[in-house]
Amino acid sequence: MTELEQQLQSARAEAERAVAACTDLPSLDQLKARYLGRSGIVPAALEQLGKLPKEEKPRIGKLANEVKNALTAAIEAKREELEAKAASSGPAIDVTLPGRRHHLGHLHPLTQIFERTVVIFRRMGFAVEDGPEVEDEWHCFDALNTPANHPARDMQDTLYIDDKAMPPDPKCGRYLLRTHTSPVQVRTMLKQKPPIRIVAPGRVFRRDELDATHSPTFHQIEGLYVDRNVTVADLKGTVEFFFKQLLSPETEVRFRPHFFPYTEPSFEIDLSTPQFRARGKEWIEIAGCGMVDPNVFKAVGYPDDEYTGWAFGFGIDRLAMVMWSINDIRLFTENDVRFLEQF
Amino acid sequence: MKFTYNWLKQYVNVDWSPRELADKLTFAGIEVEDVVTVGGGVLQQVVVCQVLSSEKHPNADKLSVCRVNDGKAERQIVCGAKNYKVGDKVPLALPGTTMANGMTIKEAKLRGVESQGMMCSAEELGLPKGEDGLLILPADTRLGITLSEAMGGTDTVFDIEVTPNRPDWLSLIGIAREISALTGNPIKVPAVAVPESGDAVTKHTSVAVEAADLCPRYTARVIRGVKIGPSPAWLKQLLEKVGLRPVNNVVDVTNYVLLECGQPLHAFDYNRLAEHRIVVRRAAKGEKFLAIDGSAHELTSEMLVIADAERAVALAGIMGGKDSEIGDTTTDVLLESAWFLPANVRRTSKRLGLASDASYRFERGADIGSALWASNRAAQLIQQLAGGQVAPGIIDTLAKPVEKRWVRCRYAQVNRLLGIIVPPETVKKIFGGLTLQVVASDAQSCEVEIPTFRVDLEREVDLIEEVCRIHGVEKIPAKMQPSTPAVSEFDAKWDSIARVRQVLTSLGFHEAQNQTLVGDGELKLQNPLSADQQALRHSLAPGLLANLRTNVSRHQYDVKLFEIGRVFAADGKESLHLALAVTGRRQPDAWETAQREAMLDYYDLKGALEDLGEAIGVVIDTAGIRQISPAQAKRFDLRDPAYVAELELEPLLSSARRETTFRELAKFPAVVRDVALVVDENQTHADIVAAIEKARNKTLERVELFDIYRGSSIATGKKSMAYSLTFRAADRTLTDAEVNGAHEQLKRSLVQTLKCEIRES
Repeated sequence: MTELEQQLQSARAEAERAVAACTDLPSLDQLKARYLGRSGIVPAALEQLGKLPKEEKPRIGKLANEVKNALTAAIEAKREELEAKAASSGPAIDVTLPGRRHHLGHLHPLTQIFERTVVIFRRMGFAVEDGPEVEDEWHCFDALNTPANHPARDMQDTLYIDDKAMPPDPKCGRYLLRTHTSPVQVRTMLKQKPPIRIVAPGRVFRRDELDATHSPTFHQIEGLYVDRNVTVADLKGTVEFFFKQLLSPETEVRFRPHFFPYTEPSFEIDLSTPQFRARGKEWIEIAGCGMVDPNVFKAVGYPDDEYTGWAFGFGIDRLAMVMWSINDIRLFTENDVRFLEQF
Repeated sequence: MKFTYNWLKQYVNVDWSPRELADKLTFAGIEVEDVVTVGGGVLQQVVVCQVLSSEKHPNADKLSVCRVNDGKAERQIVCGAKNYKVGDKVPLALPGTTMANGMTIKEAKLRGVESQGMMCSAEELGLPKGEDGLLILPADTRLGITLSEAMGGTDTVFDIEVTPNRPDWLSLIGIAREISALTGNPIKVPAVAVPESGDAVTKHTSVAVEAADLCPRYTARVIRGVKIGPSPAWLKQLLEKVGLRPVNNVVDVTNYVLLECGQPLHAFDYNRLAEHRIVVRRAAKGEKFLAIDGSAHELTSEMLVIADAERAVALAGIMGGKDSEIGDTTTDVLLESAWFLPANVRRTSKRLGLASDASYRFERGADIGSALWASNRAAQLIQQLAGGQVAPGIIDTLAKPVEKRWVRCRYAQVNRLLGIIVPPETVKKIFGGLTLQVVASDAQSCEVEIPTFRVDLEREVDLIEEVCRIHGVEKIPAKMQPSTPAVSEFDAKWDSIARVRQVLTSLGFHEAQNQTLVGDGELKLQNPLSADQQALRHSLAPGLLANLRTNVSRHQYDVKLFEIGRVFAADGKESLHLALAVTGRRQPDAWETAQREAMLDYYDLKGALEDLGEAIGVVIDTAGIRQISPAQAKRFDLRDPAYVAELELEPLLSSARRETTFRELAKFPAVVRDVALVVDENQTHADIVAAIEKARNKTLERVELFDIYRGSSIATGKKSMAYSLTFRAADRTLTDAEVNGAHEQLKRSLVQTLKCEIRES
C-alpha cells in the first residue's frame, strides 16, 4: 500500500466519524469544505495521482473516486437528516387534534332531490324546462282539461293574485299561484312540436295553512314525453327506471288506476322499498301519472290522433319526508343549521 | 263515502274477504281509505240487561247498587253512573269479559258490596262517545242477546275516496256494478213495486219547470197519511255505521236510497207547500232562503230554487228549506227525484258555501236515468216504514227520452296507447261486463252504448281507459323507447344556477329555502288564508334574517346561509334572486383562540361574492351588501353583527363567461417593491389604486394591498396602507435601475396625487 492510499483510507475513516458526530449544518458545511472542497483533502490527493507510477494510477484513482463518492453520500445524508430536524423544530405534531376545516355548506335537501332527479332524467335524454310561478287560469287549468265549475278544480285549492294588481287576461283569465308544475307542459307544447322530453322542477302553491303536514309552498317535479307511439308501457318503464335509480335497485313500483283531468288513462304510483318496509310501510303513494289527455293536445293545437304522450309528477317535499322520515314539513323552511347539515 | 260489506252483498255476490275486496277496489281505481270492523270484539261478549231496581250504596255517596236481569238470571251490580232509570236496557259486561281497554271484569266487592259485572258506557265499549254515563239501548232490544247482535251483527265499514269523474261509484249499486265487471257475478238490483191507492198524483200537485236549461228532469210523487217516527233498528244501525245521523223514517229512507243508487232525493212536507205545488225557477235577486241546517242565505238570479206558489222551499240539488222539512206533525209527503245541471249546482254551492251529500253527487253528475227508479224505491220503503197511501202515478217533466250515446273504440288505438295488444274479444268482454252494450262491431272496432250513469265516458280514450283498468295495468310490460336527447334553453340556466349553489356551499354557506308567501310584499293575494301569508315576497333577505333569528334563538350563533328563489314585483314580474346572510364567528371550531374568536364581517360576504364572481366569470356588484343596523338586529334577536346581500341572479347568469381564453405565461422574471402610504382615514383603497393607475407605469404588472396599520407611529386620523408592487416586462428582464426608477417615479406621483406621505421602513 502506498502512502497515498493510506492517506486516503485514513481521511475517509476520519471524515466518516466527523460527519456521523456532526450536529449542525454550518459544521457539516465546514466538513464538506475540508474533505471535498476545492483545496480539500480528497481533491488534493487526486491531484497527486499524476505523479504516481503508471501501473498504480488506475488502482489508486479508483480508490480516490470511491472515497469521494462515499463522503459526498454521507454528507448529503447527514444534511437531509439535519434539515429535517431543523424543519420539525417547535412543538411536536399531535395527530389527534382536529384538522383545520373549511366546512362545506350543505345543499337544501329539496334541492338535492331536484338535482338527483334532473340527473337521472337527463341520462334518459330529457331536457330541463321551467315556467312562471304566477300563472293564469288557462295554463294552470283550462288547457289541462280542467274547466271552471268542474269538481276536479276542487282537488287543488287555489291562491289567486289580487285582480287589481294583475287584472285578469281576456284570454287566459285570472292570475294565480300555480297549483302544480303541469302548466310547464302546456307552455312547452305551445312553443315546440314533438318529440318533447322534458322534466320541470319547481315550486307550487295551495291554499293550505302551514302545519306539520301541510305547507302553502311546496315543490314538484314533472316529466313529459310526447311523440308518435308513446305508450303506457313506456311510461311504466321510465317511471320504474327513475325510482330504482333515485331510491334503490330493490324499489318496487306499482300503478293503480286513478283520475287526473289532464291524463287518460291516469294512474297513481305506489313505491315499496326495503327501507320503507323496515319502517312498517308496505306501499307508499308517491306520484301521479298518465297518458296525456287528447283535450290537452287540442288546447295546444296539436292535430288529432297524431301524437301520444305521458306525463308524470310527484311532490318533492313528501318524497323527502318519506325518504328521510322527516315528520314536520316546516323543517324545510325553518332552515335550522342542525337540520340542513344532515343532508 | 262509506258503505258496509254486508250491505254491499245485497247487490252482488262478493267472493272476497273484506281485506281482498279493499285490494280489488283499490286496483280498480276506488281508493279505500279505511276498513273498520264494527260489532266485533267486546261487543260480542257484552249482553243486554234490564235495570230492575237501583238503591243508594250504603258506604258510598256516588255509587248505586242495582238489580238487573241479564236474560238468564238476576244479578247485583254496583254502578257509578247517574243517567239511567229503572227499566232501562243497558250493556252488561259479565265477569270474564275483557274490555276495549284490556281490563278484565271480575266479581268483586266495591266498598263492601258484591258486584257481579259492570254496566257499560259507549266509550268503555270502544264506541263513539255519547252522553255521559251508561249506553241506554232502545226499549225494544231483546234481553240477553249480545250487544253485537243488538246492533245488527258484525260488519265491515269501508271508507272510499271516489275520484270526481266517477259519480256512479258514489252508491252501493255503482260499486256492485264494478264488482260485477271484475268477477262476472250478476248484479242484483232490488225489485220495486209500489202499492198505489187513492187519487192520482196530478190531483194533489203540479210541477212547473221554468228553468228547463238547469233542470231537464223533475219528478214528484205524493204519499199521504204517513206516520212520522223513528226508523226501525236495521235502518238506523245501517245509517249510523256509514256515518249518517238517523232523523226519522221518511228522511232516513231518502238517505238510504241516495246511498243505494246515488240519486239524491228530497221529501217535502206536502201541507207546508203553498197551493201544494212545485215551481222550479231561478231565484229572484236577493230572495231569502233558510236551509234545513239553519243557515240563512240571500240568493242571486243565477241560482236555481224549488219553490211552491210563494217562496223557495229548496235550493235545487243542494238543500231543502227549514219551513218545509219533514217533522213529527207531517202527514203527507211530496217526494222529489230530479236532475240538475252539474255546473250550476256547483256554482251555487261554492257561492253560498253550502254543500251536502246531494250537491256532491249532482255537481259530479247524477244518473238522469235513475230518477224514476229512485222515486219508486223510496215511495215503496216510506209506505212500508211510515205507512200511508202512495198516490197513483208520478209527475215527470222529462220532455223527451234521454238521448242515447254511442262511442266507437278502434282496437288499433288500444294498442297505440297502452303498448300491448288486447284481443278484440277481450275488449268486448270487458265492455259487456261494464254494461256497455256492444251495438256494432267489425274487425277493426266496436261501438258501445253508454249507460246514463256513466257520465265520464264520452270519447274513445275513455273506453281505452276502461280496457286498461279492467284488463289490469299490471299486465302492461315496463319498457323504454330509445330516443334522441332533448335540448332546452333552460338547460344552461339550470346548470348555471347549480354552479352558483355549488360554489356557495364550497364557501361554507348552507342553502336555505323560505316561504314565498309573506305578510309584507308588493304583490297581494286575492284570497289569502291569513295576514302573515297575504303577499308574495319581493325580497329574499327578510326570510334569511328570520332564519338567522331562528338559529340564534336556538343558541346557534354562527350561521352562513344563502337562498336562490323567485321574488315578485307589484305588477307580477318574477325575478330570480340570490341572497346571503351571515352572523357569528368565521371559524367557530378552530382551536387557536385568535382564530376561533374572529367574527364574520362585511369583507367575508364581499369576498364570497368575489369568489362566486370569479367562479362564474362575471364581476358581481357588491354594493348591495349591508350590515344589519343595531335596531334591526335587536328586532331579530341577533347577538352578533349580521350582514346580508341580495342581488338579481339572472343577469349574472346570462352574462356569465361561456368561453375561456388563454394567455401565455410570462417568460421574464418579476421584481417586487413595496410602498407604504400614510393617508387620511377617509381615503379609500380605491382612491389609492386609482392614483397608481393614473401614474401609468408600463412595467407595473400587479398591485396588492398587504397591510393596513393604525398605531403609535401614525398620526391620529391617518392610516398606513402598504402595497406590494410587481414590475415585469414581457420582452426582457428588468434591471434594478429600471425598477428603482419606476418605483421612485410612482412614489412621487402618489405623493402629488394623494397628498400623502411615504412611510419609509
